[in-house]
Amino acid sequence: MWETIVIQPFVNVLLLINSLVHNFGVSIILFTILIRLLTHPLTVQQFKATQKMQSLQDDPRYKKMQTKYKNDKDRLAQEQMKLYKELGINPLGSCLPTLIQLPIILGLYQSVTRAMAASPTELFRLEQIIYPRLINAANLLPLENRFLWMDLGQPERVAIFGLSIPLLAILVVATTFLQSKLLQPPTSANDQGAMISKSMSIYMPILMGFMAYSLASGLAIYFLTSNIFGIFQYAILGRANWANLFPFLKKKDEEKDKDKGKAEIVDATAEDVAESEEESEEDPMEETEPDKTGKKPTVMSKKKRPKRKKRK
Amino acid sequence: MKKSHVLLIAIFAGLTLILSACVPGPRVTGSPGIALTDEMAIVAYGNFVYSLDVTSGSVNWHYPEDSNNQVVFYAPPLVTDDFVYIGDLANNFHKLDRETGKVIWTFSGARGYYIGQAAEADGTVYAPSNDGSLYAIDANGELLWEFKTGHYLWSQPQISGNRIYIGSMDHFVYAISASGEEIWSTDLQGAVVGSPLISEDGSKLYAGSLAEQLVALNATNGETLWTFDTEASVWGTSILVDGTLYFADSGGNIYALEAENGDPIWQTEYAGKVVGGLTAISDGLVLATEEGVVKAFNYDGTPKWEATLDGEIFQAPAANNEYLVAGTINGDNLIYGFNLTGVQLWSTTPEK
Repeated sequence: MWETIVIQPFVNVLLLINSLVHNFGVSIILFTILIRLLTHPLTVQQFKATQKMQSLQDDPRYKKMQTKYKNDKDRLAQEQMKLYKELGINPLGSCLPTLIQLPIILGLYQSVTRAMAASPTELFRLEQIIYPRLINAANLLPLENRFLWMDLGQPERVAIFGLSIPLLAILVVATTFLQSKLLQPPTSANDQGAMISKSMSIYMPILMGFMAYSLASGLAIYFLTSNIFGIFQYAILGRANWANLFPFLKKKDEEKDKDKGKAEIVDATAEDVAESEEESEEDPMEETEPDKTGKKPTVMSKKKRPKRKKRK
Repeated sequence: MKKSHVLLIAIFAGLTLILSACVPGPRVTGSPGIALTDEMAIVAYGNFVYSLDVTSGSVNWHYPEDSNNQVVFYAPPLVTDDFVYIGDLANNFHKLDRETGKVIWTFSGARGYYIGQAAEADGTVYAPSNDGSLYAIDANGELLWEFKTGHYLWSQPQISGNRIYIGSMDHFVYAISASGEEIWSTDLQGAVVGSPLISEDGSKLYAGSLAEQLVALNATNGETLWTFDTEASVWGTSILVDGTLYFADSGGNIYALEAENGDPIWQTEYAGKVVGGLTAISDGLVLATEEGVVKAFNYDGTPKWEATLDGEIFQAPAANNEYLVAGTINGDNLIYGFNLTGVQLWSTTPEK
């Protein structure tokens, strides 16, 4: 089933690309980009859902219910579901695209492995799943295993000054680190999500690097391409958090925020500040009554509110 | 260490294990490589080379003494009067004492691992490697020369007079001098997995390829003498008996041709994919299919006997004058011993 639905079509597309470009290294790169492009809408959907979930955690009602019902899990779940419904959030919204992408990514990995058949047993199994109307197996097999300085069926090493350097593994470590750093959301130090994200940026590069170091270089090329594509993808979607890599950007942003805050306070009248103080004392869980004009008052998130200055 | 850290490490370690499991073994998968003498079956599979008693399947010795996960054997061993030659997946080629299994020397000069069976003549051993090179190694384990081809070498070199013939996965058959110089090369339009077969008088070579052809070449200059189109790719080596050439394809067909001109004598369909080629026994030929069936035929194409094993078979069975040994993967047992009438005598998976 898995073989027929995922592996076989993937392998044939990969071999078809190879029959056009006649270079297996380039084929792996193009095939990885193609699959990542096809799954791009899912990635966008996942980003949007994640963003919604993150903004939900800043919602005062959400925070309030966490403390209010911390001893009543059922009630907490009910209230959370209500809030999800009200804000139009699908709690599985960020998981579903990931779940759909996972088998595709696993299939991509397996098809690259399968196409690099490096023994009679593996090559025979590869020949058996080729669509004969699409691909001329006799001309194509086995695939050319040389790409740049690499033997795609072997772990990659490059000799520099007599030393055997795993250049590709180093690049995989660097790009995995970059990717996970760029994905880290700007959250407080005590946030558990941020802690996990921080840990990921340490462990993930090490593990990916180990795999790139020990497995065939064709797979390391796939890891590298996938990472670089991911970085571009996050950048294009505006989800790359460059301040995690370049701290001076964070300072600039903070200064901007400060300036913005100051300007708002300067512009705000004393009445506004007083109103703001009252609002902050209101119970966010209580429903707000419509004002006399019939409009619902907007509850500003704490972040957006101007900071109160202590009266001397 | 925090709980979340431990959990993350466990998740990533699990993922690494799952992804690594997608590439079984160090880098490739294979099936048991088998060679037979009158008394023993030398089997190379996984982390060991085993010497088995051919009558009972019991283990005489294994090499190395202790398991090393980085060292994996799939290549069929070459067994001579005194020695066993075998290459591994860690790019090493070993010479072992045939009676004790003790290593005499190890050659580590190749850039690729070994899948193909070596050949030996006058003390020089010729080891084909996956780095595309044929290595000529002297009796002391020193490299004499290296002959480079364009792709993997999976077929066993064939030696006739002062020449070595080898088929390469780069689609060419090469004739090489005893000093390692190319004499000629001929493009077969498809990868050559099985070993070329030399005719009795040494004047012709027969080689099958993935181009769905069997080709006869002039051994002197490599010119094509005749071509026979098959119904599927030809993976294994042919056999030649009394002027008739027998071979099988991966689509379930056996062919008998006039070796002189390639005229068909008979063809039979038997439903089974043959990867390893045919093996000659005293009064017929034997093949093994990927589906795990060992079948014996008379030379006129009529079936003699068959045995169905649990597992898949990717190499031709090995035979001597009394016994036949076949190796499977993904089955109950690894090695099966038969007599030549198809009666199974033993089966075993040697203990590690």
